[in-house]
Amino acid sequence: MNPAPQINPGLPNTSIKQLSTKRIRLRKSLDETKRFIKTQKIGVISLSIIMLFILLAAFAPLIAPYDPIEQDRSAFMLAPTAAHIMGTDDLGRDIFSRIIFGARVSLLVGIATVAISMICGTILGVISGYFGKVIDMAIQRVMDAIMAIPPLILALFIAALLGPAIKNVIIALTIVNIPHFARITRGEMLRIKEMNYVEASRSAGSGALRIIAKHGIPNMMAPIIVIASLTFGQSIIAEASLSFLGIGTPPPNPSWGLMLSGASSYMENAPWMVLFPGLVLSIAVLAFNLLGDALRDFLDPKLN
Amino acid sequence: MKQSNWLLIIVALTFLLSACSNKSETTSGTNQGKNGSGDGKPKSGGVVQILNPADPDMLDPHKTSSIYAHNILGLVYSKLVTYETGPDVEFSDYNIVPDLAKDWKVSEDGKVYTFHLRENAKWHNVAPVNGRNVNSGDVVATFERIQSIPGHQAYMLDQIDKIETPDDLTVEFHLKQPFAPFLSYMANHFMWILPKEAAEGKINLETAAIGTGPFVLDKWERNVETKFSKNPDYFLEGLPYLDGVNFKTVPDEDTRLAAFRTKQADTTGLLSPQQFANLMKQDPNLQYRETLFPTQTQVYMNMTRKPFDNLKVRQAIAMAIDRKNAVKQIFGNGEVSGPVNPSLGKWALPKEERESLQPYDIEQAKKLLKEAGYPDGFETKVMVTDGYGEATVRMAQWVVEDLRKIGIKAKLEVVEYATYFSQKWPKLDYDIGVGFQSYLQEPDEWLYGQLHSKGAKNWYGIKNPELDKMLEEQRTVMDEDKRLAKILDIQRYALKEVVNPIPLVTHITASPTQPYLKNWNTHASYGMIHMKEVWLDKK
Amino acid sequence: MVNYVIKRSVYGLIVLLIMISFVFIVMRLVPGDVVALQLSGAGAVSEEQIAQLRSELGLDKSVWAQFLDWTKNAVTGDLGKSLWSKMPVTTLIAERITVTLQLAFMAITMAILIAIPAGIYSAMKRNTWIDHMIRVIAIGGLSIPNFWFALLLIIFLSLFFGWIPPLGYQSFFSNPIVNLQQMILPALVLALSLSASIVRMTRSSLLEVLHADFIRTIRAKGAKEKLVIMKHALRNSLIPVITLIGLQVGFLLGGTVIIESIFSLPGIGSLIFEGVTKRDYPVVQATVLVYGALFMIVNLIVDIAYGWIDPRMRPD
Repeated sequence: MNPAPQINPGLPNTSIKQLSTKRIRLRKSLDETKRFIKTQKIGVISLSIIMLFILLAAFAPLIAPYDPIEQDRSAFMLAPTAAHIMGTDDLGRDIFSRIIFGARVSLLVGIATVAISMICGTILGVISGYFGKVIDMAIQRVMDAIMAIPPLILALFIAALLGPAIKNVIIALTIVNIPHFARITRGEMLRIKEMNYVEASRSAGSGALRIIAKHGIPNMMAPIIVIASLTFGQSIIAEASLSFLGIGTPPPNPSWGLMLSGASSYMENAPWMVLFPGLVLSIAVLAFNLLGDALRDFLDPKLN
Repeated sequence: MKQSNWLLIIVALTFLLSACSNKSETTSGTNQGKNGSGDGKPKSGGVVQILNPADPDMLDPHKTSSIYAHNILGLVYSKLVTYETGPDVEFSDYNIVPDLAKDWKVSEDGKVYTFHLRENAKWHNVAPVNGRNVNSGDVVATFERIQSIPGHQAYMLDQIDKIETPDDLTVEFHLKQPFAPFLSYMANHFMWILPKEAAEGKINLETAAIGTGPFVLDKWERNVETKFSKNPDYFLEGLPYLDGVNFKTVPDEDTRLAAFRTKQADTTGLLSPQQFANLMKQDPNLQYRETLFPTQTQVYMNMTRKPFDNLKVRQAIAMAIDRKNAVKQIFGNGEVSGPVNPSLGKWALPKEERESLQPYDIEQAKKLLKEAGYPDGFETKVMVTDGYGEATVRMAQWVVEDLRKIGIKAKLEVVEYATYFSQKWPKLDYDIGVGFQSYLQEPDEWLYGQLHSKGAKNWYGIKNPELDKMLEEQRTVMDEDKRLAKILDIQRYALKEVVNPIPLVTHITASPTQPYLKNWNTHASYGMIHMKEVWLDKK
Repeated sequence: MVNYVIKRSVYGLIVLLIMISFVFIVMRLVPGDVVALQLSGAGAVSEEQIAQLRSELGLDKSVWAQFLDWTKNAVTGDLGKSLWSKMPVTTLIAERITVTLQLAFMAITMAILIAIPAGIYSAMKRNTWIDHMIRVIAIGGLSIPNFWFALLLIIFLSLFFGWIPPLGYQSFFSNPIVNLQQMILPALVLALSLSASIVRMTRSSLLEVLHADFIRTIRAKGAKEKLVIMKHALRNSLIPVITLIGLQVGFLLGGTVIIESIFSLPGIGSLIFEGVTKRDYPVVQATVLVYGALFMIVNLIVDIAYGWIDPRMRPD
């Protein structure tokens, strides 16, 4: 999977050469995609489910039949009917609409958490791995400190102290996840640093930033993608767990976790209030986890 | 699998689940008042199993205000006077009856209260008191301790000038001025009488409780279990009936319900209306007791901020809220509330008056807003904490929706409990709030505390000289009927001229009990004072 | 080996110090005042009373002075007293930690018993429908929130079997039968999400080893496939699995917060949750410290276990 080392990266590239490498890359990624579709059926299915959720979230106002927050005082806890295909909740809100808008909240939590912790974690990991010594020591001990506190407890600690808000849930989950990215990217950086071509590049006078950008990051994308995908699913679960503890997404925002965690007492009388958010949440998380699994299988050269 | 098949399975599952729990239909209220009282002669013996959602941090009655602590302490300690319980006594009847004091006398000028202690009252037979008799020295030591500890209850005693003990069984309280709420405060749960050894530090009150009550504390295993056994030397002849009481800590509501269903508990403690409905569905013959909740949901406004300084705005908000539907939908059942919570019985305005003084009228509300200069409403924030549980947050969402209907665009702001209580509410850092008041036991606490410009819980910015005068006056009226008339007048005035905090609803909680649990005549005050008369009709 | 343990312990102490400083400072920076909270049930409180309570709780000093005091005492084993119950925090933790440890231990054991055989089987049947099934089920376990699964379990058990685990926690030593009845379900719920990652790791690690040269050599010599896996490949493939379990201990301990509350178990998960919501600083600090120490001890044991599994990995 590791791309072939580039020779003499310091030399100015001719336009023809650039074009051809681009073409080769394009060709290669096309081939890779074909191979992914062929070997990772579960991964493809998961990816399509995720795409579906993303579409739902993006076009929520067009798809949702009702306002997710507006209460219909004549329609409390209705069982699923044609007008409300997933029923209504205790305040007369349409559950189907809430689930569609809830996709926005849940995906936002997932995307923001993954993106921020990926960027911060990778920067820290790469710096740690490249420079080593005191910097490495300092960063690693801080990462160890974060890792040593159980993630849900750390998230609980941060979210409880910052107060219930989507933003604070994201901050909490980001802090929890940074060390995972930092750990893996540090290891990759250590490995890449020792490669002959990097040594060559360094002796040719390339600076740290250039080496990291040109050789470091591109060569560690595979593990990063895998972790990102798994983190995504876990963030959605963590958001639900925080909601269960009363420090997750605050009402009236519709989030899957909030809908699920607040409704367990309705399980017997109005099971639709609980089952639909639960199913949707689990399907989404399952899709992200299976995708991560498939990507890991696909990207890990040792398993081929 | 096609999308439609998935849907079919989900729907099928849904119906399967509802079918399982839907064994028989029933109408609510058929078992009202059927709380197992009065049928048959009481039998002695047996242990009652009770579930508590939380365990107290400590057992020191003067350092904790937790209801769970005081419920435990109520079995162990006695007060000078207490409230009557029994089959013919309503949950919200606050009739003061003898406890450790067999009788009491109030002087003509209302400034001296004399209590005569029972001759047969003994401390539990536990070291270091070892069953000795109660004397007036214990009472004095207790009140001196209360006055020396910061917080909580000291304010109830701040009218005391001195305490005297003419003899071993007599205690005299000399007040600085006539103070009508004094006797109620003596019946308050903070006034458990301790042995003087405890006040002297010979008993660790944080983990031990040795009193004169119907039960002896055998074991307090933190967060697991609290066990009591019968006090054979209890001063009321023939009581208690039970051999023991056993509290278990079960934080999760679903688990408490499951424990009741599987007969691991004789009652569930607080139960949400949904959970209660689940039980009723399963067993229409369920025995339960319906009681008014000891506090109410209030909407309060910060009068130091615009536009809430404007009476018309507050009136508009009060009129915009559909209380009756809210309480039905969110709490299952309940009443429109008033400035004094209806759980205080006669001290609250009659139900009809509470309703007629607080109509639900959107058109009128819009008109008032227009008159106040806000024809298109305004933008604001509604604060709520999740520390009071799910239902309060639902109530806040309900209020937000109601305000939207008269043009007030309110944003819901959920605040963490610690922040709510230490930063937001008492420091007047909010626009509108939705929440509970504590389980206050005296009309003075509800009215003076919340509405007087110097009230300890006036966290609303209320300053009304006329009202202040009325509030101060009622404290000095010793004749109960005359004081009652004044208390009711204050409430009428508050509902018309102050309209803050707006009393929304007091819900009715239904607590199920197992059919063999008899004389379960709970009372609105703290301390499970009905437990001495409870008996089990088993075996 | 001894040097290695010493070096790790020094690192561990540094990490604990970073952790505790973070917790200490953040707890005091955020809104929410424990004194105001404790007096929230009070009718009227004067300024002097507030000041009196604040100094009784030792909160009138500067944050820095409080931190120094606390650290000094912590070194001597005194972790302070709870601001609410006034009990020594070490007592509170001692009362509860066995519950959490037993829960974690049982969950890990169950997860290993379920997941490693499943992972091996999955690897042996690579890319067959059995392999896919096992993976989807395992990952399914990761996709259901713990609390949700636990609540469903309790509701269904009580409705359909009229049974739930007996309430009122009993320790294993005082009543093993009741204790196991109380612990098995919560441990199972925790094991469910843990086993997902173990299945995955066992499978991929075993596959990796099976591709290694030395296995090819053994195969070429004509050894039976089962023997190859059990005798040679498995041992070598367990190292990453054990690393993973070590790292997942944190994840597992986090899950106990919710599970303990649903199953009414008095463990340290519920202790820290209450501590945070009530701003009980000493309780939170000490509990975090215990979690951190547990995590590091487990991972030190994991490192030592490498040496036992594979002598070549023994640290110098």
